[in-house]
Amino acid sequence: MVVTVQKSREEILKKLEPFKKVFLSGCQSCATTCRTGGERELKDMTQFLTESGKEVTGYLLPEKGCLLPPVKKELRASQKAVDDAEVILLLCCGLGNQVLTEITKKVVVPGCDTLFLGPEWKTEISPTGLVNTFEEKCSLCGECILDLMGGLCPHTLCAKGLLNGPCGGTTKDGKCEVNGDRLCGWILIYNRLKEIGRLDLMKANQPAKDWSKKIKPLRAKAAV
Amino acid sequence: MTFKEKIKAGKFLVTVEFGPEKGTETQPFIDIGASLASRVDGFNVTDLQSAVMRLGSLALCIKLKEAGLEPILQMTCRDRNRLALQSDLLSAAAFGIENVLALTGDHPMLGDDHAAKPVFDYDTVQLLDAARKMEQGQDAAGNKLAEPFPHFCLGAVVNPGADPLEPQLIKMEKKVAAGAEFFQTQAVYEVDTFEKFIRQAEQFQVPIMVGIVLLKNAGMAKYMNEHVSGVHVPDNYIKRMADAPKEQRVAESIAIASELIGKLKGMCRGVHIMPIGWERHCGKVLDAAGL
Repeated sequence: MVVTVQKSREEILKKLEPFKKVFLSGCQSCATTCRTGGERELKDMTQFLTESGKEVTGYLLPEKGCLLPPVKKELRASQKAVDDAEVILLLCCGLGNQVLTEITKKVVVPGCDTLFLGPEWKTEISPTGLVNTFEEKCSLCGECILDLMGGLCPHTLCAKGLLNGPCGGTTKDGKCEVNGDRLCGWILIYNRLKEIGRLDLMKANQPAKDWSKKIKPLRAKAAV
Repeated sequence: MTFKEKIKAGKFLVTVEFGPEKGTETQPFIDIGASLASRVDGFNVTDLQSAVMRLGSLALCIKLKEAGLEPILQMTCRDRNRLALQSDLLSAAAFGIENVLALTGDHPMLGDDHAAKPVFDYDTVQLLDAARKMEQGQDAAGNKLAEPFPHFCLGAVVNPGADPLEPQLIKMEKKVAAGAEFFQTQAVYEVDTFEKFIRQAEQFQVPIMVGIVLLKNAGMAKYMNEHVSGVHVPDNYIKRMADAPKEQRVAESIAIASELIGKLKGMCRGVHIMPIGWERHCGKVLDAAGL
């Protein structure tokens, strides 16, 4: 899941300042789960923008905002609303933003910040209802070494991305000194390796990451 | 004798840490260094300590070297990728600086400019490994270096108060294998904790210098207990600092440091004094500790 957070209403209005007519687009996948760009958020945003003096010409809610061919097809049904708008406000991740950049000639404005790649980890009860929690688990490093790390990613779980063990900054309750509400990634890895009887893996030297595998922008193909 | 020669000769080692200012002033360090030169075997120069932008370690190391002192260049992995780290190793060697202490480095979030990009392209094990390769005439990518090849005396750090300790020991062993010839520890205030650590670290047969941080006041001690990982200042030291009248605090701090050195020096190969701004009092600490 690509985890997003909606920008503040203030920031969104500032970005939309030069424009009057706005078309909205969200996503039924990640942005719906993150409550940043599903049906409910698109309706809330429509109401907010209307009250703020904007005209919302319509909205699109593709099944997956990051699949260009189907989004292109779906957008045709809303072509007039898109043509009428001066700007498209995207309530989804940066991928959805750039799909619309590719298939329209409109100004595309991000209404969300794209934070990280992570699973929905747990659902908690809060005074205002159920809350989904997402945790960053993969840094898309391009050379997966999870098998050497007890299935836990040091690039992601260690604030410094260290590959050969912890720095000296683990607090006495096993937290990371960089952010007191997160556990030290290396203590997690150590505990896991110990549990599965594979501390030998932690003793092995891990070479530095090969950044040539991450020369941007990357491309990939898959036979259909 | 160089620091490396003293390590090999089995001498009891004394090092003092200098932390450059956020500016260009270097003379006070050179003056203090000169006054301690006969009793101190190496002067560590921190590398943007606490992730705060300051005068660079290499600059002050060069100044100390030019003044005839023995600098220990601290290099963290926080701010430079592998190209810059290796280049700085060559730069140090070109100035005759061979002592290098490899550290991970505090995260920028602990410093005074949180927006800075954390690099950590290498970790300390990989940095030590790269330095050793350079001595053999190769850079990390396997490209040939031009002669003369650099020579280093490589050190690393360890946190004896870490809990659990085993991950620290595993990494320490990797640092030794990668080429660390000496270790300087995080601040130690508890003799028992250090003894437990030393018993387990002995197997690596590498010189360990115990870290001594001068307490400035009770507030600093409490702050370290709250915020510095693996450091615990016992209540009796906090009380002594709190009870000491302001004009007596330096003397009390020196007394505590020298007592600690007295208890710890028999267990290890040296002491590493981190005065954190009290560089001018280091001579008195050494006097009191009989070093």
